Amino acid sequence: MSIYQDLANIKVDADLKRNETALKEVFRDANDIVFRNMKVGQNKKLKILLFYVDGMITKDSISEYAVQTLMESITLESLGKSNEIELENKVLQTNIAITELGVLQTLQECVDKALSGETILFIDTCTKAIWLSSRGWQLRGIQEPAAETLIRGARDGFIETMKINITLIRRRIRDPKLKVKYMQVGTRSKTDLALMYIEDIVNNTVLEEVEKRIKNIDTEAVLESSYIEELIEDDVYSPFPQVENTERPDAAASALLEGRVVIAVDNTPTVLMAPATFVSFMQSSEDYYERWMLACLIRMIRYIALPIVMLLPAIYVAVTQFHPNMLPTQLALYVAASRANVPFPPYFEALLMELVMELVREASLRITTPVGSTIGLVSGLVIGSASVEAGLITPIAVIIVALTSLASFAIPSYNFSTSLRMIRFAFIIVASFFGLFGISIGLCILIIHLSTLKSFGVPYLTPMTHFVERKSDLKDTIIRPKIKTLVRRPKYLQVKKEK
Amino acid sequence: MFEHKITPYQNLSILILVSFAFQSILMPLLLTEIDGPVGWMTIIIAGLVLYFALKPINKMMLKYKDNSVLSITNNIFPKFLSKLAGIYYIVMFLTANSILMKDFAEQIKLMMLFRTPLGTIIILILLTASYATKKGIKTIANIASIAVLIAFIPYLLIIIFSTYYADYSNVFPIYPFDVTGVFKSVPGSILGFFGFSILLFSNSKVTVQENNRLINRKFIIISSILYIACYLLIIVKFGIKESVHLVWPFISVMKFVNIPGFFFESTEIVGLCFQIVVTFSCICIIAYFTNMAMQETFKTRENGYFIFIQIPVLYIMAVVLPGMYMMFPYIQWPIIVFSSLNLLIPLIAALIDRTKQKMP
Repeated sequence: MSIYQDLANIKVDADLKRNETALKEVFRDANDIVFRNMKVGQNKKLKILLFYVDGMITKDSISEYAVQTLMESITLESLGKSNEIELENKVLQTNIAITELGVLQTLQECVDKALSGETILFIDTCTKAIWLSSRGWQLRGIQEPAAETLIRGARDGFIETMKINITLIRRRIRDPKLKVKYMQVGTRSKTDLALMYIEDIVNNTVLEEVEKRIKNIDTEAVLESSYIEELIEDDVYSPFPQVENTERPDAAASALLEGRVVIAVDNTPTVLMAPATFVSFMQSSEDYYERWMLACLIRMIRYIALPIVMLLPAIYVAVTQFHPNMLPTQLALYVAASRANVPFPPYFEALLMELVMELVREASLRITTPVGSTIGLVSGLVIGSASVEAGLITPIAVIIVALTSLASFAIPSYNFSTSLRMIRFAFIIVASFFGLFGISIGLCILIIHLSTLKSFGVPYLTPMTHFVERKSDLKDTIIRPKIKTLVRRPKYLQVKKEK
Repeated sequence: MFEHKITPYQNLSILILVSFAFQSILMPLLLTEIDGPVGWMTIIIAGLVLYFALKPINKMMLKYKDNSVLSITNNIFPKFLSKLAGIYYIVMFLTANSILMKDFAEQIKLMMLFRTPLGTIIILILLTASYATKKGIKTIANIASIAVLIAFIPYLLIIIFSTYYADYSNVFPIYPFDVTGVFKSVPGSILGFFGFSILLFSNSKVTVQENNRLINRKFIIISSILYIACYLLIIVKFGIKESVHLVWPFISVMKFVNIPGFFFESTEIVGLCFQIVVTFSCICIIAYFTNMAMQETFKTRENGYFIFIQIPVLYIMAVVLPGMYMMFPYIQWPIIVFSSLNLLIPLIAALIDRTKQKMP
């Protein structure tokens, strides 16, 4: 059996050399692993071994609060032949000034801790190792998330370090009932993950379900929270996201206060929130920071943008191809005249323009930010006007596609907006076959799909599917009510405390 | 995780939607059979008959919680009769659904897809409906609720906007009214409350069955109001003489919609889009309850697979049967038979159950 597989069974040895050899075998060809042998105590009789990953620890704190004190300690002088309990207690309780530390039994635990950025201290004759909190690496500063900028509201955003993200949430909810459960996912990446919830609000069924699904994750590595999102969502074949994500601590705090569960994953600034519903994807943190009337208007605009994103190009295809009689005579004549020299049928024209638009969007995302937006804008303008002049498409098609793209930016959730953009292509295709009837049937299929969709047991279309029983939930959907009237948590979450 | 059944108000949405679809189809019957604009009297009579019939039925259904009318008849009727009742409901639902689908497909062909074969439209509706039906009652109820919000209410609003240029004097004269005509068209009106047949099955799927009594009453009242309002709207819009010649009065009403700022010329197509969602929901609902009737008659556990038996049957029936407007001269007796049986089967079951209860 290889040493990797057996590591969990290998206990920390009383002989320092053996521990070192075993660990060196585990980390063969890993030059960033540091083993430091020392003799401590005033007479330098007690042998110790420090083991850590270079670059992941703050050396200063270990040198100053652990190594230095151990070196100068008088109490360690006579401990060379002491029993291990006495040794461990002396070192732990009186000679190390680091607040966070613990005892490890096996080499596997030692390896895991070291790879998390802790320093492992082996003491000669002792069959237990001690981990000393020493995590420290270069961090990105707390900045405003680029994808969720607001006019009014906090400017801080999550970063790649989970513990800092937890702190950002804790600063907003200073409640002892806010619980944080640490877990680890990924057999190789061993990514840290924190499950956060407010104990006296959260629905236990939802919490247990989230926990169960995370525990059931069987993957080698989790490099981003999107892995978790995909692995725990209810229907992986649905184009719609079933877990919400954010880079804003205020949005995460608000989700916790609503009774939802927040999942913070290490190495990613994106935090997950579950359960998520159709309505939650249409809400933004800023809705609650603006005056309620303005927020109502903005929300209504979003709900107007929703059918535009999904249906406008399809309606254009249906009307020009199947139902030109729907248009006022003058407009119908103009459309017919402008289409006279266009070689493509309306559906091809719409599909082509939409594909070009997606291409521009994708390209501008890949180019460095300040130039990206300019290139996106310029290429959009140039391609649009050149195509019209070349007689490839009609000016109306350009307007339709531009309006659709603009509307997609009004949807606050990027994930959700992307889903709608994707569905738009399906609607164009059905409209090209069956006109408005095709669109209506497409809508019916979409409603069926969304009606069956659930996010951790919560129906996706709630509260619309229970608009009488949960009319109080409807209050905070298309409009944003006054803060004063927002006293009850959403009923659909079936939280412990509604108020 | 939370709900495996439908809520009382989702049940109400189902009942209202289904009834509305059949009221639209049967409206010409109400217009042609009565001499004068007093069809609303027929609706009131039909509503009252059903309202009072509900009392013993509610009582019986509350006693046999979680049981549909067919499960109850299995306990009460002899085996042969209960099977016959089951077969009746299957045939009735299949016929109703195929007529609804045929009418609906014809409207679409006439107004939207002139060159598409009727069979293609029917099969498209059927396949989409089967997708919903297979998903179960919860999905059906959710669809019904969403359809009410996004299609039924806007559809009604469009109809309201059509009152422009209406002649309200068309609702008169009331006296002397055609008594024979009013009573003759009651069976047709009863059939217009198609939700009554559905509630005999759907009530067993409701979470809080104690509320069914109230919900069923609400259904009769709301449905009656809608039925009367739609009837009166057609009358004030076209007058009784013109209305009797209309094939689909609702579509004709939507041709004259005047919404301020609305620039589309053919508003009936916009209205029809909403109607597609409403009618589609009804087709799904009836298909689901046909499945349920099949399950209970053939004593199988709940599954969605009966829809695959329904698809060819419904397709053939919808293609072969003529549209409702063509059948009006020949459907007097079938309507009487269907509406009587719809009323009598649960009433007789309730009566027998009561008698059995009283027996020592």
